[in-house]
Amino acid sequence: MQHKQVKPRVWAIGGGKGGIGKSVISINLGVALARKGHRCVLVDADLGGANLHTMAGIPNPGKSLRELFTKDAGNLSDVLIPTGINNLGLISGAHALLDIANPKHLLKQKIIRQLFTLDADVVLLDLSAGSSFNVLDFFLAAHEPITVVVPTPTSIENAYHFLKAAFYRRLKTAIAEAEVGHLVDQAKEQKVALGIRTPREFLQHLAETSPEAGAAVSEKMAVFRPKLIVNQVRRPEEIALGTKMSTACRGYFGVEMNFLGGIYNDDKVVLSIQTRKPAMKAYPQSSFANEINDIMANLLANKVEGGRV
Amino acid sequence: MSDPFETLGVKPGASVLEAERAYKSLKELYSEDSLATYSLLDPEQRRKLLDSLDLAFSRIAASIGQRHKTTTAIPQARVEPEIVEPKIEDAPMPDPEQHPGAYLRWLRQRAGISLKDISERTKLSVARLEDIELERLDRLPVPVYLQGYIAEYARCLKIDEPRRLIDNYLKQLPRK
Repeated sequence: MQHKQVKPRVWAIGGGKGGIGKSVISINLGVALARKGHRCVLVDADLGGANLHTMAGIPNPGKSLRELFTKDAGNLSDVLIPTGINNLGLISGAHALLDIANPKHLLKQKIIRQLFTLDADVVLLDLSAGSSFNVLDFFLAAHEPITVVVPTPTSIENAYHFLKAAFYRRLKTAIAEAEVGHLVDQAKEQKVALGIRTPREFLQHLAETSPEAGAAVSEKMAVFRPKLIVNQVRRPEEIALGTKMSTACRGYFGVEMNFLGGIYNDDKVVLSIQTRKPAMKAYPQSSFANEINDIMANLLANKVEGGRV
Repeated sequence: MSDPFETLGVKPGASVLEAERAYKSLKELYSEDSLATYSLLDPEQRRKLLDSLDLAFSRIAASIGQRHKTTTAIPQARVEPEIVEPKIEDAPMPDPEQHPGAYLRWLRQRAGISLKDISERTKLSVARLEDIELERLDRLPVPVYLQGYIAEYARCLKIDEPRRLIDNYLKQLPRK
């Protein structure tokens, strides 16, 4: 292996709801990257519900994030294990007990910092369901925060809830960093009177009333560029949900949300989980594999956007 | 006031056709039964967004319609954001029998009332009112609704006998 220490790009897969295929997408994107020669580390950040190791066919990972919480390991790189696939490593979340599913703030910050120092081209985070601060902080730290949605009302509702939570958490940080809290408070007071209903209108209003604060906050918010994958598609017209949601996000948040692509429902994927072999590896010629490859290519084409908070 | 082209997500100076396509697809996106937005917006947010689309499209449509009258070629230049309706005090009265929509428009403009005012009073969208005025027959709703809309509009203009106008209008519709 050539020895070049580069800073990895961090991709995070979230979406608010459970059972929408975050882990399947994570592991298969990981395999796709590895097959193309990109060194990739998968991180199972689904603490309390980790199962990437099982999908990768590793019944009992010797080391996992647990060792960081119990202080048996000092660094993230100490718990990195091979997957048997060239170029693909795993940091498992196995055996992470419920009480450490909510790590202390300092430990969380340390883990997030270390993600960006791993020796890899891409670090791929598989996040938990839900919109807790722990999930959001990993999501927002990533260069590529990716939301997965399936074409059902419940999943869409959770995805928007997740995106709203992420947006407001990011906004709060942006306001604090720009040190414009007092001006934002003024704008908030006028919010009701002026009938401001959406985050986008609020930012426009802030830009009009205090141009300086507006510019500072907008600049910080501009790096928040979530991406979208529509998974478990059954009918071709359901793919359109991706573009529609991304248009709706522009109207609502004033934020561009790139639609990365759709993934059709495929029995081979279910079979691949049962046999504990990633579909990307077992069926590299399938249309599922093509869809994953397209999404990977879209993500690799992105080099500048996003970034650490 | 935000740029109507930006509101519809089209390039500045886009053709009315492009604007219309964008307008229609956004109306659908923000409709109440749209899977993609129903859990994003509360009713008030939805109403505001829909209103802003109506306004944006009517401004684009009105500005382009206006240029058609004054120039022969379709204008390429960026359309002015603020649209002032032409003074038509001297314009001849359209025949209410033949052009009931144009007649409504004429009455309204003579009274110096904007489409937006009518829209606020009738709760009909500006785009809908414009369809009625310009007699865009293919875009109008079925007669049973159309009658009600025209009656509302006529009431705003204090037309004494809206029934005749409605009948005239319905005569314009293609027979089934």
